[in-house]
This record gives sequence, C-alpha cells and structure tokens, in this order.
Amino acid sequence: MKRILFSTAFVCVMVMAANLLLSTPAETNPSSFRGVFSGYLSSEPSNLDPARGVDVNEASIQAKVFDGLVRYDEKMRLVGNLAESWTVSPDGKELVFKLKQNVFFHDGQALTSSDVVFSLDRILDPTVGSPRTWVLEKVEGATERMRGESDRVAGITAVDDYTVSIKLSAPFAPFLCLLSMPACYILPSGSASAISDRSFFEKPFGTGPFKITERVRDSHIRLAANAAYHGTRARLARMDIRIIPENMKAEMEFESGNLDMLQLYPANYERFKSDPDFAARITDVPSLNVFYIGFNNQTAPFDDVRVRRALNMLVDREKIIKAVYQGRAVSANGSIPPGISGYTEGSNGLEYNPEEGRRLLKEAGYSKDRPLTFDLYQRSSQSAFEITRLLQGELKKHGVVINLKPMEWSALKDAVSKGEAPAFYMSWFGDYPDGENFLFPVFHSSNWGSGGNRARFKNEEIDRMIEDSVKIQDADRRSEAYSRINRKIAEHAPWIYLWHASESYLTSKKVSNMDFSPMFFCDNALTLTVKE
Amino acid sequence: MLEFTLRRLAATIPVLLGILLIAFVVLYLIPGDPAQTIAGPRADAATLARIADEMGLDQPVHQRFLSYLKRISRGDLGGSVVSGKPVLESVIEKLPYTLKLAALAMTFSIVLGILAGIISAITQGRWLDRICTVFSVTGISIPVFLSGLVFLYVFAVRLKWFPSSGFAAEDSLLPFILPAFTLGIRSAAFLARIVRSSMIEVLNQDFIRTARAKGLSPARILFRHGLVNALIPVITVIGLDLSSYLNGSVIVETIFDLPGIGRFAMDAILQRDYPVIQGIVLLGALVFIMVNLAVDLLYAWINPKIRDEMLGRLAR
Repeated sequence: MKRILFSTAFVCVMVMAANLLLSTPAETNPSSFRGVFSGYLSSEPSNLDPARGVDVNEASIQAKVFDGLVRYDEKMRLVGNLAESWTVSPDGKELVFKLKQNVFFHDGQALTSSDVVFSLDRILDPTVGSPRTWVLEKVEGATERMRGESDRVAGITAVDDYTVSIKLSAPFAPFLCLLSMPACYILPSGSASAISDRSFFEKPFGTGPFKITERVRDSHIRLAANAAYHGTRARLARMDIRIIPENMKAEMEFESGNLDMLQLYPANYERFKSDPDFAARITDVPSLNVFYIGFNNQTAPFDDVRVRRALNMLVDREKIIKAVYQGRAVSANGSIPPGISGYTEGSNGLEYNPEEGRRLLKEAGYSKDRPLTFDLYQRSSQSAFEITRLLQGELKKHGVVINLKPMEWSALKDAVSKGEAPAFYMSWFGDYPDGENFLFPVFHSSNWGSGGNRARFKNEEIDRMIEDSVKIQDADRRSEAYSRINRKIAEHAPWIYLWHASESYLTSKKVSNMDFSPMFFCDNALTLTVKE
Repeated sequence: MLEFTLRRLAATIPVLLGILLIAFVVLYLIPGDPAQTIAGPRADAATLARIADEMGLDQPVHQRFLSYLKRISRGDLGGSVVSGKPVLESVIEKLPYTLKLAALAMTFSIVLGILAGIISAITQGRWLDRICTVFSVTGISIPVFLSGLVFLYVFAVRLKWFPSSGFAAEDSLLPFILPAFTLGIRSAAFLARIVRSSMIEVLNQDFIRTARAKGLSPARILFRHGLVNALIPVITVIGLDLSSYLNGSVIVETIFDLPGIGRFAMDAILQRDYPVIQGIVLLGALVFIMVNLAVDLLYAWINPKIRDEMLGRLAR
C-alpha cells in the first residue's frame, strides 16, 4: 500500500511542478477598441524576424506588428505607410522617401530615418544571413555589403532625420513593390543588441497597429491594438491567433464558436457550401499563385520541347478544376496569375488538344509499344494526390505512364533543387503583385535550381527580355512586356501550366470587413471588425 | 545499493553515445536540407552555401559529430537553426505541458488499469471479468487518434464539459484531462490485462493458500501478499509508458493543441532542424534511461530477492 501511496504522491508533485511553470500574466485592453478576433495559423511562425521570415504564417503576424515604408491596401493599391511620400528620379535609379513624423515604436522610441537604414541594411548584413538578400540586391553597394567588404550599404542613406534615399545600381521598376514585403519592415535601431542576438524576436515590437502581448510557442500569439498607432487605428481590441496544425481540429473549433475564420479545403468546401447557413459567409479569394507540373528541361525525355508541349495539350484542365476545385480556379495560360501586371487572357497554343498532343508524342518517337513513361515527384499529402491521381488517369488514356513518387516536403524540395526529379507537381506563390515575381525567379537562368527556377529552364533570349522589362518605368508598357515574355516562355512549355487557384475562407457571424485581397497575408487588420 | 546505482549510471554513457551516433547518422542520411528550410523558396546557391557554412554542414560528418559531442559535454545543446532559440530554453518552455499530460495520463492509467485488473482477477471467469476484458481489449485496439477525436467531439464540442484545447485555460488542469484520458485509457487497458494475469498467477500460489489458512483478512491477502508480488511486470509496463509520455505524444498534443515536446520534435523533423532534433533525442534517451533505472531500483525495493541478486552479482 505504501508503494501505491508513493506513486500517487509522485504524480501529485509532478502536476504541481508543472502548474508552477505554466502561469502566465493577464493582459488589459485599451477601451476605445472593441471586439476580439480569434484566428489561427497552421504552423508556428518560427521566425518573426522580418529579415529571416520566409512563409505566409510569419508574414501574417509581422504585418500586424511592423510597418514598412509602403504597403498594399485592401484594394491592392500601393500606398505610403511609414513613408508619407516618395519621389523616383527620372532615370529610375534613385528613390527618396519622406517619413511620417510622430511615429513611435511600441516601447515609445520615436521612428527616424536611422531605423529605416538600420533595418534595410540588416537584410544585406552577412552576419544576419538573411534568405531575403535578393529583395535589395539591386541597391547600389549591395554586393560589397553581402560579401562583407563594406560595413554599410552605400546606396541606402539617411538624408536627414525624416528623409531616406535609396540608390539602385540599375533601374528596377518593381522595386517599390519589393519594399512592401515583410522583409523590409522597419525595426527599432535602439534595440540593436537584442535584435542581433535574436532574443528580440521572441516578442518583437515595431510601429504596427497591433502589439504582441503574449506568446506561447506552438499554442498562440495574442495581439492587442496599439493605441498610439500613427495611422487610422485598428477597430479591434485584440486578436488571438492560435496555432492549429490539424485542419480537422480547426474545423471543430470553428463550429464550436472558438474561431472566427476557417480556411476551407477541397475536402470540406462542399459540405459548408451546401449548408445555406454557412454558404453566405464563404469568400473565395483569387490568390497570387500558379500550380504546375515542372519538368527538368535539361534531361530526357523533357529536353524535347515536343514532349513538353504534347503533355500540356493532353491535360484537360477544366475537367480537373471542376472535379477538385469545384470551379474555384482558372486555367493557367502562363505563369502570371490574373489580377497583376502581365496577365492577359487568351490562347497560348497549349490548350487541351488531345489529337495534336498525341501527334507530337508520336513525332517525338513514342507509341503504344514504347509509351512515354516518367516519375512524377510530389508531396505526400492528400491534396497533392487528389490532383496527381487524376492527372495520372487522364494521361494514361493517351498512352502516357506516370509513376507517382510521393515525398515528404523537405525531401521533395531537395530532390527538385538538385535536379533529380524529372517531373514534379508544385506551385509558386507571389511575394508581391507584379508580373516580374512570376517571371524572373522561376524562369531566369540565374535562379536555376533552388533559387526558384526549378525546371532548370535556360534561354538567353528570355533572360534578356526579363532583364530589359524591369527597366521600363511606365507601368502599362512594362505590363505589356511581361505579357510578351509570358507568351514567349509558353512556346517552350517548360511546365505543364495547370491553374491559378482561389483560396476559400469561412467567417463567423461576428466578423465583417475582413481584408480578402490577394495580398491578405500582409494585411494589418485595420478594417477588421468583430461584434462583441 | 548506492554502488549499484552508480554502476548503472556509468553504464548509461555508452548507451547515450550509441543513441547520439545513430541519430546523427540517420539525420545525415535522410534527404532534405535545413539550409533550404531557412532560405525559403528563392534560395540562390550562394545563400544556401552561406547558411550551410554557418551551420557547419560543409564539414565531414565525423568532424561534425565530434564537435557536437564537445559542445554537449559543456552542456550546450545549441540553438535552433530556424528560430535561433536555444534548444534547452525551448525544451524547458514545453516541458510543463508534457509533464502535466504525462502525470495525469499515468494517474488515469495506474488507477483504472490496476483497479480493473484486480477486479478481473478476483472475479475470474464471471460477468464482471468479462466486462473488464471487453473494455480493455477495446481500449487496446482503438488507436489514439480515433479515440482522441471521439472524446474531443463528444466531451468538448457537444457536451462542452471540457475545453477543446490547451489554449482555452492555460492555468488550469482542465484542458489536460481529455488528452490525458485519451492517452491513459489505452495504457490502462493494457495494464489491466497484465495485472489480471499476473494476479491470477500469484493468487494460485502456495503462499497465498498458506495466508488464507492462517486466517488473514481477504483484503490483506489481496494487497499485502497478492498485489505486491504481482507488481513486477506491471512496473515494467508503467515505466515504459511513462518514458514514452515524457517524450511527448505527437498525436494527442496535436489533436488537443498542447504545445508539448512531441509537436516540437515533429516540427523540428519536418524542418530538418538538426540541433533541435538531436537535443530532443538526447533528452529523450536520458529520460528513458532514468526511468528504467528507477524501475530497476523499484524492483529491488519491492522484492528483496532481486535486491540480493543485484548485490550478489556486484560482489562477484
């Protein structure tokens, strides 16, 4: 009996110890703000450091805590944020930003141009090791700074306390769009030492409309409205952003009234859409993406353009879109999605045309006795299988044999970057709404492999066309140039262009004015309201 | 006894080294590159090379292993390559959740399992025994992800007796009850089977008949003579369960939103965050070794015969 008592006591002690370690402080809210929004992310944002963040989950928190010089508003217009105004020199090589005055960080430090210089310099600082150096690589002196030959970026200077000048080494018209990215959010230079040892990013602060008041990794991040915000202030009092990796769990939490929004997937879309109570609260958001089957353009059988074109023509995109996405996607006629510069409707010569496709395959030397056979690398997720199994079945009808190679995400990225995958099902999501984002990283030969050009596509003419297009300052003319490049690349069919998919969200009855622009992951939740 | 403990502790060092080596080699062999996780979708070759260099990934594997050993011998588990946060700090942050869950699950498992086992054993072959058997076979057969979701749906979503996640009430034990029950019920079922067969075996032995003949009370026979002697295999199972709970339960932590060690480990594996994976493997191995040692010592304490054997072996 003594032993049983002993084990009970042991358990009690463990529970008490755990309780002591778990206590958290309570937080109060400013009274002029109303309502609490309960949201979630599918994974813990591992990095809240703007210079180190690479995914949407990280961006969605950063966007509420920090501000950049410029941002995209809910209508996808580029507007000033910390910058009150800016000018671009006629040759497109110098941008001068006038900063707003009376902007304060959450700890009370005032924002000046030195914070801007400090934050942008960090991205190129070799000791930071930022994965986002490409954002500023066109700035004068960027290479020297990245190589450690200089301790500051020559092209980024504080003219006075509220004026910042950025000089580019060559004209690069989309530069302003890049400045809206989370990587370019502004940090307080007064906290430089905490920033450099990374302890700052446990609960970082910026000048944004929300402050992080509580953070338990893998559990939740609590944000409270910033009463001293420089712009139109948020309407909400608080946002509770939980980390819920399991879709099914999120669905349960939403239905129990514990979440105010739910991301829908093909698997549960139908169910909510068919219920009139939910259907009215579903929003389909055309997002900036392209789904594709990439080929390794350098190795057989995909070094033959006839094979690549043929496969494009053998895929009935509309049929798959209807079956999997219930119509919430548009067929891709290139890499650039609708809604941004460079997208044009119309034919690219690769539409579903099985006769022509089969003819091309025959011309390339494939027949019933010698069928085209290849491995298709993909993520081992339900959503990927839904697509690839359909593709496999569709192409089999035309005598093409596909072996699916499902892999875990890290292993897949590795295989594709190294060029080991002859064909792969992947997608590309935009970082900023400019056609350049869907051309340069994915098809310019300098981004070969892990840089984004996973298809190992290499064409000098296309390289030059892309380089020339970004020098065009006039937005309409630049858009036309992107569109021409988009068409030109399609002639080479480096991918099977599949579609641009929408994302769908269900919101609770309490929520209104949620920003559902394609750049919503960088939304700072200023308009969002939640009834109490 | 002290000497025995010290020797057992010393014997754990080669075991730990072996585990670390295996973990290291496996990490080296699996495809996927942490530099790519850090660098994101637009990772040019220069960035990848720089990150790999920073992490020491370009060194030969034996050199990396040696420098890793050197580091941990100083008590430095390193920092996450993704977030930069020290591994030890993260583990300490997550430990309370896992400890609470493990402690509660063990409580459910021990109380329910031993009770059901004893009832089964003394009502052997009768209807109460049959009911206990049906329950324990069901408990063993249903996987945790299923029972977890069912409990969640019934008790949290429908009946609202418990919160559905660890987020709802951080300071109370309430959010831990359902996940602990999910985990505990499964090992309780297993434990019940073992207690039952072990008890039946012991209760049929001569010394129990002797005790009965002496006129001892049934309760005294059952607990003082029966249960204590039946405990040895039971403690082994409890020890194994406890160590696995202390290493985190990915599925239960995921279903019930508890930010414990299991989820932390899973995320690290998916991101190829080597220092975190190695740190968790090391701590996990330590937990296993310590719990096993405790189990061995408990054997010796419960059964003097075993203690004498242990000491005798040492003397030889």
